[in-house]
Amino acid sequence: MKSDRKGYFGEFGGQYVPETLMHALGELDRAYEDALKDETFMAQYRYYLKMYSGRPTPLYYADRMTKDVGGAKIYLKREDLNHTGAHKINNVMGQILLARRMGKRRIIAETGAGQHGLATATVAAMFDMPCEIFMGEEDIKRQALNVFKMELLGAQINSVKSGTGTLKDATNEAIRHWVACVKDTYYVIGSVVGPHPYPSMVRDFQRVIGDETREQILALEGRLPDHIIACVGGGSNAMGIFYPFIRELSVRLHGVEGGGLGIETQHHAIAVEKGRVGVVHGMKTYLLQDEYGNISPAHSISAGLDYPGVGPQHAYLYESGRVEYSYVTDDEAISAFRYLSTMEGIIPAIESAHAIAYGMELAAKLNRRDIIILNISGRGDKDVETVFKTMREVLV
Amino acid sequence: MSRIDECFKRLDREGCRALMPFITAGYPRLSMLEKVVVALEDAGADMIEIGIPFSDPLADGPIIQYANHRALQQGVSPPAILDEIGSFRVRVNMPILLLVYFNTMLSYGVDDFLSHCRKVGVDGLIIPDISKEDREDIFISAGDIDLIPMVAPTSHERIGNIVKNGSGFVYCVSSTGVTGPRASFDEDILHFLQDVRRQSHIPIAVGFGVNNERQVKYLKPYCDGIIIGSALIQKMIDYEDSSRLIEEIKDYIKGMSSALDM
Repeated sequence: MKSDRKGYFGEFGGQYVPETLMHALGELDRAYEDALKDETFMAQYRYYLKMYSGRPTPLYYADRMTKDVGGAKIYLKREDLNHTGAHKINNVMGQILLARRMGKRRIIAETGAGQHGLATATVAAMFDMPCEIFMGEEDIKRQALNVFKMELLGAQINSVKSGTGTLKDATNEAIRHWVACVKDTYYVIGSVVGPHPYPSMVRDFQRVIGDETREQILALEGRLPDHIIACVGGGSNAMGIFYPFIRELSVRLHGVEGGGLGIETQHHAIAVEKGRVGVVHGMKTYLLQDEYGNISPAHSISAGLDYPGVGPQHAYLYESGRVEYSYVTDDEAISAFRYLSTMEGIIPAIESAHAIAYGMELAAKLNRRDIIILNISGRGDKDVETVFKTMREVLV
Repeated sequence: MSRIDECFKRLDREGCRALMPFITAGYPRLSMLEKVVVALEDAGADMIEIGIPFSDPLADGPIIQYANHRALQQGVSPPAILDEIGSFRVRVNMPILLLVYFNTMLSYGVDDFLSHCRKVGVDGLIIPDISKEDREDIFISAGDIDLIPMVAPTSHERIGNIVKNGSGFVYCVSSTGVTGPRASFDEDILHFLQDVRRQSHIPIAVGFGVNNERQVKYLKPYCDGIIIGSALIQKMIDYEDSSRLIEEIKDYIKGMSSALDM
């Protein structure tokens, strides 16, 4: 599934951006292709992932959960154990090393849940680069702890009030800002979205999740898993763990979107099943939109899944049938969040809780000879307050 | 020869440059569109650019974002805008161009959108978020509607290829950044415009940030037309609820027009 020269995956992808950015995207494309082939660059990338972020992350056999669910053997890929608490740093490390290699002096990024912003602020601090984070006004309220952490790390937070004040709008604003200062500024996109080469590049910096998983499961079980499950907002943790298995047709791949209040309501983030093909943020993909092509606001309890589209590779993998896409509602995610906390002593990100909820249901239908892997894309410290509030509302 | 070509030919004979105001359809209200367009033509506009409001206008700054937002709040839709233009097209002489984000066209159906444009007498399209590479397909179905190529100061070696298949005029983005007033322009823009002019077989016009008569005088020796967008919308915002709205925008465009023709 390599994108061709123009950056398309089937009909999806492309570079739908103002002309001002086209030169920079060309420059980025060449720099990233060069860097991937440069063993010194890749060694540096692996060095920082190991020594700074703590990779490889474990593939943990969830014994109690497996027994409790009573179906397939359940393994958890522990991306939550990365420095800054999520898989996001894999991509940020790659892109900021690339920015340095390109001689860019300044870093900007968008963030939804704050995990990508946090990872970007962290690595920018480590490399002593000025950093500005664009974050929706609503998300700033939902993720106060991450906002404070980013400020502590020296990043400047730019509150985005336009549109719905969430990830979609933060992405628009980051692109607008990039258009203005494209000469010296590097834009670190946080997911497999945006104009080419971002979807391919972010996938390549996230595939370490899948590469490790493959090695680990072969060492532990002597064979590949039957199912891999990951949540999908833009879809970077999912692309990262899926990619090395795409050609292994015996491994079934499942992407889980934010079901919000349910597919029958207007309040969800189910872009694949409920969206139509459209263009936003420089890419052609499945999008939630009205009959005239205006982008509809998404809803999910998880700020990281609260995005009206998916990366173009996911649109392609859906059309080709290679990956099965589904959704989990806010309530189901909260139950799974609590379940993993009490059952395994792991508080997952509310994003990852979507994969857990789906995985539990799937595992229950399988038997002990089957193996499933759930990608725990992040840890849940940032969500404790949201879940606390929701539980209190239920109790009162 | 298209209406846009004829317009530039006539202006060239008269030794004039084209003044091209931009407005957002549906702001302040769709029912005012005809009145505003006619007033702008009276005030000296040579062509008009009408923006189709979109939820995520990536190339626009806060002023035009606001106009888009207000128009969408009232439920203004692309087919309604096109029909409205069709209803007054005969009462306007100047070429009418649309500024439309690509998803609006895609959602309507590119061919259906183009044929609706043709039916109501739209002369040209400016699509700010589609690159030369992705535009090739639309070229085929555009027919007699001019697809305006856009170049930016960062286009460099891309300029030649972008203008090659363009028709109507080349839209030169004055400086990096989104739409919205610029305090001033430095000499870089003059080199950029000279570079585009050297490579283009069609007229060139400058937009993004032009807001006062001093800037118009500074830029006019280097281009064939000037686009005034955010500054005009800002005037409309200032007089949104006032009965003086039409007079105010007329005065403003008259001032720009005389600066351009002097």
